[in-house]
Amino acid sequence: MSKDDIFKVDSNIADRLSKEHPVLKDAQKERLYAMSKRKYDINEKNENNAAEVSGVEEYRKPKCYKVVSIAAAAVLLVAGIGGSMAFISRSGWTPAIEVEENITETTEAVTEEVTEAVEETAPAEEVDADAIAKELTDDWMKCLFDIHGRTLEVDRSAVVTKTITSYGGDEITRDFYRVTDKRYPTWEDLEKRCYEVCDAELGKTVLDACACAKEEDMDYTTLIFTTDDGYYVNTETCDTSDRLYKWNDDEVKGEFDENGNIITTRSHTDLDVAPDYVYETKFTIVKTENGWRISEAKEKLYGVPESDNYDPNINE
Amino acid sequence: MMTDKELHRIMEQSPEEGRRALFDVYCGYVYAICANKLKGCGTSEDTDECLSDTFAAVFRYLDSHTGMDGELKGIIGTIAKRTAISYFRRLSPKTDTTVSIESESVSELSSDTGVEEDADRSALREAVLDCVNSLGEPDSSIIIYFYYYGMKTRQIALLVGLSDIAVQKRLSRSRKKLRKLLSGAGITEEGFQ
Repeated sequence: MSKDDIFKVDSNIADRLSKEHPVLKDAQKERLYAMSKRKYDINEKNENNAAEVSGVEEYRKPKCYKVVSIAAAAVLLVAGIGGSMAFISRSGWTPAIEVEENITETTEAVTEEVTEAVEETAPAEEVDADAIAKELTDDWMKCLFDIHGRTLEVDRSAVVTKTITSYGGDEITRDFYRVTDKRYPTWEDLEKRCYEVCDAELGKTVLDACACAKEEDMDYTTLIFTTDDGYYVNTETCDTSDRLYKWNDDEVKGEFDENGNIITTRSHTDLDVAPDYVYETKFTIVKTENGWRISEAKEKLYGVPESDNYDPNINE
Repeated sequence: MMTDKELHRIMEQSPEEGRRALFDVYCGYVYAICANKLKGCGTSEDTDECLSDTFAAVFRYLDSHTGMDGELKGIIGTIAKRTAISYFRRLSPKTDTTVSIESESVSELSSDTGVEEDADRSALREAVLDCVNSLGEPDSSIIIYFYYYGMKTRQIALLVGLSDIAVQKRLSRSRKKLRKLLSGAGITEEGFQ
């Protein structure tokens, strides 16, 4: 039996998939029903007018369809970043691709300003790039763990349980601890810390994607929720704090690029999903009016076991 | 969930409401057929178009067969498969598109198939799906979205709330586990590694 045959969908399998693993959300269903109805109506109209008209009005894909699709994709991307970043809190993964896509333009803009500033003010040689790179990248990791709730001090004696609708439509419960961390009494304090490590654009991207929501806006991706009276973090997230990853390298080398930005690369090993995977993160650090800030963090798999060294999207 | 009998009754009373109810009941079923057939050659937009063409055709079919009270799944499945094959041919001009509707077996989509070979194959696929489900979440969903629905890992990442890289890793490991499970269930596969 070939692979195609194994995963072929016949009537029974289609029936089971639609019940056990549905993929269509309500909004998608509405859109698809509207499309179906439009096609049906057009055909019906043509049949009714067949005696009077010679031409046939064909269904045409609305011009706005593509725009709507792109808009929907954008919404999904944002949701996806949330999902991806939510995973950081569990696995220690950093938001490589999404961050890269979101800050490309900003990086260019900032780069131009920085180039001029560097030329006019301090020569790059006077800046200890190694020290800046080490401090900021160490802070980046700590900050990510904090923002995703893995290293926050919490009150484990009281658990708050919330009922949430999962992506499959089922009701699930999630437990949360109240955060009692003196470093960050409020969620806003954590946000402020994030902007001490990242530049404005990257900081916003990281915070937008960190699976934090107001209590009334919670969904199944929410791992931290805020109230007027403090904020709460998912218990599972907190309870994985024994599996925090660390940078593999203590010696950090920061190098200036042609724009006066500091470039540094650090690696870490995944401790959750795949202990044999090594990730390399390339940081771009820029000089802002508030000091040096990380502007870009691009992560890629560095050490991949030979058996897993494939891209399923291409190789399948 | 609404039965076919109830759907027929609603359609008799109010065709518009009946069409909507039928869509709600069968859209996931049709989506699974269309997405599976178009995986690798079409975009999600093509799958949407295929699904909506299918339902427009189903609505027309039911208009011309008023008073029928038989099972709807077989009819809808057959129309979905025919529509998907038509899209597949159109979207794969450079590849081998020799797909015979007869060879695809219309009866395969009918729930009352009497062909022994089809029944065996169907049972085998059910067993495969059972093995996939036994992987547990989110791995079973990842395998299903990837192999049955033909989604890219990035799309799957959005659905399961993981990163793209994490989905790729889980997919890799789940494939290995699944291979063992299939082998244990006596299912041998070619090209599945």
